[in-house]
This record gives sequence, structure tokens and C-alpha cells, in this order.
Amino acid sequence: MARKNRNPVGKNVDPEAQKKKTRTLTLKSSDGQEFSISESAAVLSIAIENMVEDDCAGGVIPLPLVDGGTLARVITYLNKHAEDGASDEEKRKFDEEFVSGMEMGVLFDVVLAANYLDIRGLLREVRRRIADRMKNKSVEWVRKTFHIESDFTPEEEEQMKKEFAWAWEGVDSDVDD
Amino acid sequence: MATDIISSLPCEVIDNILKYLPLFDAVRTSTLSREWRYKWVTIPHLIFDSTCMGNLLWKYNAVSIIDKILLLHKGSITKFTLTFADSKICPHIDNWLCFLSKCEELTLCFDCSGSYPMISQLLFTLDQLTHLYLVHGELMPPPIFKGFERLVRLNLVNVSMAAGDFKSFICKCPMLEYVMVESFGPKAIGDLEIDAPNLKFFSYRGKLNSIYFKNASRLAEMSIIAHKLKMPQDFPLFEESHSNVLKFLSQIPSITKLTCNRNFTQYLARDGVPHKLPNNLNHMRFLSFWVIDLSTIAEVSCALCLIRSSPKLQSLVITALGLRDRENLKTAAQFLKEQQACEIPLTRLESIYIRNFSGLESEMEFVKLLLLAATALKKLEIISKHNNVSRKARHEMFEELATSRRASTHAEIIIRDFEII
Repeated sequence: MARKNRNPVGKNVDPEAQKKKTRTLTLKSSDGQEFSISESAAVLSIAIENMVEDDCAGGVIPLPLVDGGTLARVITYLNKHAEDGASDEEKRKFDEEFVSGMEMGVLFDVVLAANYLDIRGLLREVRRRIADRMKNKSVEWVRKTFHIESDFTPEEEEQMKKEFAWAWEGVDSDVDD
Repeated sequence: MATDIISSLPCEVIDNILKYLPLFDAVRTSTLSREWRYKWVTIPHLIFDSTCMGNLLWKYNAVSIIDKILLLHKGSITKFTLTFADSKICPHIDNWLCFLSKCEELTLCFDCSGSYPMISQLLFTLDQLTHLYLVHGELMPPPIFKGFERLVRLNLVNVSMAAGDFKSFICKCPMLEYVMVESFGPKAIGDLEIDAPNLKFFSYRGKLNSIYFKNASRLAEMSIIAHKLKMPQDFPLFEESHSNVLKFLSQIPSITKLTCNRNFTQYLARDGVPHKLPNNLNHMRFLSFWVIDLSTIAEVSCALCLIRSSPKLQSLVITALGLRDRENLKTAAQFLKEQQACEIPLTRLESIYIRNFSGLESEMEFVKLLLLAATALKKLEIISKHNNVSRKARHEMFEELATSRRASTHAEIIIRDFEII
């Protein structure tokens, strides 16, 4: 996928950028919901930008891998980051709040969407958030939360635990956060 | 919800989540399931800091933990940090550095005050380094050291290194943008010559014989808190060919932010100071004298020379020394009064902040001189010397300054007592 350095939107006075601000696109989720979004916000997703540039959009851009609920969240993020005059500090605060309330399942949906749509900032933010949730958690907690089934025998597991005993120091007792 | 949601994520996403996990949390994922067993072994960052190692050291052998992780690790390690270690760990660094040929960011902090364990020569083979941060140790680059071609940031704290070695080290790292050195070891009281065409930030704190920039036309921010810089016995008359301040500042034309301690100001002034530099420092915005004796003509004239040569100066911060010598005081005050006749172009200066002020005649004359020149001044803030200036004296100072001639009519003047915030 083409890697492009985007200038932050705002301050820009070139007519092309102005046009992008007023032009709207329609994004269609996997469950058929349609969302309008300004082109300047939509193209913060490198995948959408490429679709627009290749002109395969034809008015409505179908996003078959993203459901409506997740797409609505992603659009909130894009709109904030394309907002005129939003300072970096404001955006940082927004990012923090944006991911802090999300449940694990939602975080996974958003990380998948951000990966698919190639939205770097959002991807970084959600990955960090998922890692934060996993910090100091027991293996059992991680298995339960992520629906991972262990295929080790109890003996194998015991053996591995012994081998890396130091990695188990200071692990939280299982409490749901 | 689908089963095993995390394993269904693309590999790249999982790798990146693991990258944000503390090392030991990542190691624990090996016991989640067979699929997860070796996912952690490719994480590119290995951070052994006190958060992960701190409460283990009484129970486990740190060396064997690090050995084991490095042995299992596959692929490139781009960041390696060791910040919990004492000097006993040092001999093992040799083995570990062998694994770090792809390392870009290396941090080694040893907690061993007073001693300088020799850092392995293998360090000099890590040619991918972009960041190097060392605390405590001795560095001796081998003659065949070719340099770190990609090194951008260098932090050395309590690292013993001969001045000549340091000079050639810097010279061999052409991409250096950021250099911070704090207290070289006992070896290093020497002459520093810095040749770094891309350098933007330079900070030095410690003993030094002399310092000179050879090729630093991009240097924007510099702070020098030096001790023991070489001084002649008495200050000779100004001779342009010898002037240290001229020689020094002509090499750093892009300087934007400059912090000098007293020893360094004296060093700049040591061969006499011109009224003004032949070429203005057109980028200078912030100037700070971290302790200056405003009753010594050499120091005051050096400060004034820098101020006069910085037409775009916006902020000036000064820590005054206070009274040392009553005789100098009169001479300096007289000198400063005479300076009022020559114009100082200070059309951008908005803020003056002076600490440790005791209201000496020379200090007052210095401030009056600035008030007379600074047409855009918004705020003059003076913090009086702790325990030394009464409320009444502060009031008198205020009256005297508030009624003296000012170029900026809307400048706010504040004089307050020292307080711990």
C-alpha cells in the first residue's frame, strides 16, 4: 500500500484542500448502514484515500469488513483529527478518552478496522490500550478475556512456569477491570 | 463473540501489541497456548528496567534471566535498555552486545558511583545505533573505530573518556543532532573541540579546560555549565584577533537558546570583549546566565555584548551572584551608567527574570539599562535574595525602578521575595 505523508489538515489554504473539506463521501458498513463524512476527514485513512484517488469510489465507498457500530466510532475519531484548529494537545486528550471507555471486544473491532483502513494514529492508540489492559494480568485472565483455549497439558504448563518463574513475580491476582 | 479473538488478529497487529507490553508480560504469553508459545520471541524491544527487575534481584540471578531471554530471542533487537544494574553486571555486557548488532537505541545505566567500569569494545561495532545513552562507565574507542554513521542522539552521564577520544568520537558521528554530557570522569579535564555539522542541541555540565566548536553551523540550543575553564590571571585589553567570545560565537550562528554559567561567561570574556559582535546572532531568542556577577566588568560586558548582538532576543533570565567585592561594585555601576549613552537594540525583548537580586547599585544600574532599551518589554520579574532583602528595601527598589526611564510604557514590574514553589 502506498505510504503517504499527510500534512495535518488546517491552516492549509490551497484550493484542493478547501474542496476536500466541503466535498462529502458516503461510507457503507458491512451491515448496510451509510455514513456521510467530509473527504478531508475520510482521507486520514490511507486505504480510503487510495480508493478516492483511484476513483473506484463512485459516490459510495463500501467497507465490507467494518460493521456499522465500529464505523461510527472510527468516523468520530476521523472527524476530530480533521477538525480545523484542534491543537495536538486537544487531539491527544481526545484519543485518550476515546479508547479509555471501550470494552475489550470493542477495542478488537476498532483495531481490526484501523488496520484495514490504515489509520496509523488510531491503530497505535488502540494497540497501546490493549497492551495496557494486559499488563500484570495472569495467564488465566488473558485466556478468559481473549477466549484463548490452552492446549498445554497441566504438566507442560507447570514446567514452563518453572522455567520462567521470574516472569510470574508481581502478577495481579485475577480481578476484572 | 468469536472464539480466540486475539489470535485472529493479523500477525502485525499482535506483534505490535506485544511491543507495547512490558517484557515479562510478553514472556508470559508463551504459556497461553501452543500458538502463542513463540510469538514473544521476536519482540524488537528488550527493556530491563527497575520496574521489571527491581523486585526480582534478591531472589533470581539477573544475568541468567537476561542470558536466557537473549538466547530464545529471534530476529532483530532494535532497542535494548538496561537500567537496574550494578557494576557486577558489567563483565556480562560483552556477551549481550553480541546479540545487538541490529540495535538502534541502546541504554546502559550502571549504578556504581565513583567507579568507572570499562564498557566492552564490542559497543563500537554496533553500527546501526541511532541513540546511545550511557550512565557510569569508561569508554575507550579503539583506533579502528569507524564511527556511528547513524547516531543522532548521544547522552553520556559520568562516563570517563579522554577529551581527545571524545573529540574524535564526535567527529566520526556525522549525523549527531543531540549531545548531552554530564560530568566526564577523572580523565577528561581537557580541551573539547566539537566538529558536528548536524548538531542542534548541545549541553555540557562538568569540568573542562577549554571548549571550541569547529563546525556547528546548525547548533540552535546550547547550555554550558562548566567548571575549571582555563583563565589568564588578569583580563587583558580587547584585541579582536584573540577575543574568545568572537571566536566562539562566530562558529554557532544559528544559536537560538543559550545558557551560560559564570565560569563559561568568564571564559568567553577572558581575552576582552567587544562592544558588540561583528555579525548579529539573528536567531537568538532566549539567553540565560546561570549566576553572573553583575559587579564584575568582564562578566557584565560579556553579557551586554551578547544582548547587543541579539536583536531578536525575547527572554532574558539571570541569576545574580550578589555582593563579593565592594570596590568592584562602584566601578561596575559607573561602567553601566556610561553604557546608557549607547543604544541597545532590544525591540523584541518581552520578559526579564532575575533571581537572587539584592538591590546592589550595579544590579540596579543593569536593570535600568535594560528598561531604557527594551521597547516591547511586558514583564520584569525580580526575585530578591533569600533572607537578605527586607520588605522595606524591596519597596524602595520597586520605587526606584518604577520611576526610572522606560522604553516600554506597559511593562509590568514585579519584585517579590524568594519562595519555594
